[in-house]
Amino acid sequence: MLTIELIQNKFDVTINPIIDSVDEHNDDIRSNVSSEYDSRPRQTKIQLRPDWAMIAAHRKFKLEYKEFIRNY
Amino acid sequence: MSSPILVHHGIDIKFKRTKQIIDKTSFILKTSITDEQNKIDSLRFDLYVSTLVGNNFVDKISDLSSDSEQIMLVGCKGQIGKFIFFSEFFKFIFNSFIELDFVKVRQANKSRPQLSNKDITLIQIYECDALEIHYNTENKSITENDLKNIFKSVWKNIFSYNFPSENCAEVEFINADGKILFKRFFLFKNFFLLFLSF
Repeated sequence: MLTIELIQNKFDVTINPIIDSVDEHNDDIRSNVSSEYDSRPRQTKIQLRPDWAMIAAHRKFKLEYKEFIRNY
Repeated sequence: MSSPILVHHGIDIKFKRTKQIIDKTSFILKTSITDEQNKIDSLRFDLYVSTLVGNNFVDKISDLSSDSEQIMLVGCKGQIGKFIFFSEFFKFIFNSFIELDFVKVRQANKSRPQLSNKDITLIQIYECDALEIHYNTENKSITENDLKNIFKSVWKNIFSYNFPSENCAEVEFINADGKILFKRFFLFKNFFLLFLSF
């Protein structure tokens, strides 16, 4: 069975969670958004452009790409 | 989409939601540190936390302090006030499904904002889907193969990883079943729940 403690002991590593704080000013707005999240499965059509894969996987551009999708 | 992983010509294409979800069972308490001596000891912190959420609901308090700030990650089992009629057994089973009443926690923090004459800030957080990992041996570098070895059983659920420095790696999960993954890692007491989820 896998636990953080087990991994830490077995591999002699330290594992810390990376935590994002909720922006206090947008607090209420965001909680509403998250509670309205609809998890019903839907038909999704995905077209992959091979030349985008590199950007999506790139450690630096990935963030910009994510930002782009978010604002799209 | 019913699954966060699509297989396309034998390659896993992984999807991750870009909107983060607020964690409903954990939060952070923070205070500044001017020197080592004025750090609040963990016992007092524990007591403070129980006044915020109630004694029976605290699951785990992790110390994430930096040099300048004392930061405590508080993981809770359940909500104050509600579900109090459940037996211990039911609480155990439903732990992860009961959310924290943040309005109450915030009120409690406002009505008692200080501990040992220091201001305690309450911070809401997003569900944790990423980890930082490094070897305990100083200056031992960590490689991709090390990560594959360490996270072997959850490798499929890893969305991305990168190495901010040679000695440290950051691993981000797909977070499709975020809460369960989170629980799996940080609150591994709910064995029942895990059995249910596999």
